Amino acid sequence: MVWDWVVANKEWVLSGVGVAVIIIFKDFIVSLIKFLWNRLFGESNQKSIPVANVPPSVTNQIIIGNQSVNQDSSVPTQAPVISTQAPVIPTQANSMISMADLKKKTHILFVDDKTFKIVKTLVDEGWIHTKLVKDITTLDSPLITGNDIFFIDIQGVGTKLFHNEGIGLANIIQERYPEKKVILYSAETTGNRFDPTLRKVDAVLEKNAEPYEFIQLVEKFAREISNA
Amino acid sequence: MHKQNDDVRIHLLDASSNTLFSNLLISEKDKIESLSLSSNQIVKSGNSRVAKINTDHCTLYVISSNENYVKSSQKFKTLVSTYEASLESLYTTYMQMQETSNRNTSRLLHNVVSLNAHNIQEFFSLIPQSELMKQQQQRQIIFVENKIKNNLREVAKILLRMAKNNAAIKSEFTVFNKLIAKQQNLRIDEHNVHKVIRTVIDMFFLDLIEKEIRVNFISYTDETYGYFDFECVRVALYHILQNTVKYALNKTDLNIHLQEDHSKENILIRFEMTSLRVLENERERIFEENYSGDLAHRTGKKGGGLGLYISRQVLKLTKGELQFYPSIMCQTQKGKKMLQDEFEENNFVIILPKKLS
Repeated sequence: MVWDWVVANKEWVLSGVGVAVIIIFKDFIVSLIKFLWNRLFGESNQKSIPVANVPPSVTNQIIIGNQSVNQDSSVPTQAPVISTQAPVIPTQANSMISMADLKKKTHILFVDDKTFKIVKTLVDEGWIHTKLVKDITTLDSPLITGNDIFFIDIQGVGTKLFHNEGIGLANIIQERYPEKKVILYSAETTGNRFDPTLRKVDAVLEKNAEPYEFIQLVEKFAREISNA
Repeated sequence: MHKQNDDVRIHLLDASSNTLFSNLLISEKDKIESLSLSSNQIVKSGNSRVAKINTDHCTLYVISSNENYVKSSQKFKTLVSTYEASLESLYTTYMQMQETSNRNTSRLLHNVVSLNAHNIQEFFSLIPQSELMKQQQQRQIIFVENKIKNNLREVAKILLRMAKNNAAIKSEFTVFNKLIAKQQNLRIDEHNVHKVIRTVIDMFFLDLIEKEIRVNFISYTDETYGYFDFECVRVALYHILQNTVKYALNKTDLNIHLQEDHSKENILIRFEMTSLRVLENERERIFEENYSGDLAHRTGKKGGGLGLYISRQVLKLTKGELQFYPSIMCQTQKGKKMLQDEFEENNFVIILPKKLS
């Protein structure tokens, strides 16, 4: 069937256009051949990978190109990573405002009795209105009204106002300003998890979360606030 | 109204009089000591009743100041006899639970201690402790600064290795919290799969460079988003990459394919690599707890047999899967040239939902 088609269109197939098409769809054709080969000759008990048969849209090579790594520290070598760009920039349904604008207009406050370097990381990432305070001691504080996203440590903050520390503070911000986003974070993984307030806040994060997780939440909530 | 049993407290000792469990008040402890009961004796002392039960393995004190028990010696006797009847099995269960919990805790401790040990050694390999000790307080930063200036390349590697160890420690905590302590606190959220892979694979570049393994990302879809718990997926990625570093053939490619499945409801992360052959009868067994592949045994690369088991379990928590597929085209020319006897083209596939279920 395929062969008949090839014979009937042999001039076209052998022309430059045909060759170009073959080259363009090379990966697709190879995977098709693989698939057919497997169907015909593959072991009957062998599972096949349940993927849609689509040619790759983007190929992105990251490392290392057979470079030998220079052990001598006095001679600089090339950095091994060639491309750090994510290959696909997906379109979010509601991303009317660009992330760059969101970074400039979103105010983020960390409430933590100890310094926490994620604040610097966020500022370096462009979230320029990110600050840390040791505590919030009055409920009408501009620290509450002037910020959009709150990261609150469960332990050691809000001690003057609440018996349950950070949870109490988070609770009151959430109640008075439902449009603001409140994230509780804690080094403790066991305690308090039955406190119903924990389920009321927008997110709970472990203190040992990576910058990626903080940034993912900030991006998500900044977008939600701006779309609201 | 109080339940009667709220006022009953127990004190359990093993054969060598070590306390295994006790919820006695301090005054009750004093009372037991001063009474020095003999075996299986029940007494009324002040406003409470006390009983002592002995078996081959343990001793149990039961004490109550509940007025029902204080008034009626018969009621208290009945209560004591239920404890007596179940004491041996209570003891056995207690010891088994203790053992399991100790085993899990000591595994966690062992792994975390050894990772932390590596971090300690990384730091002091650059800044010898003996030299650091000789520095005056004011000179400390300058001293370290000079060490760094003279070893820039090495410092870069040290930092990367420390970051990887930190990531490994975090994986240990995730596994402990989610699989062992069953505190699953999952946060299922939308994530860019490519970014998530990068957060893990970045920690492995150094190892991959040393093995001259080249990483290629191949995307078949523009929609590389999935819904899952980041920590769970991170742990699985960590173990798969750790396996790659351990079992892949030097100077080969690691191809990471991002694809959709037929239904387009899942995103597949396929790690295609040339790595130690998995025998046909092992294709499911490699996901069992404590199972290490036959070739891994023969080549002396046997690990604890936990990585793939853990990966599959954590992925299950977040409605994902982990599958193994052997090569589909070992017969190709490229395959023949490249593959040595004990190596094969292998695929590990992580399947993650694309929608919130």
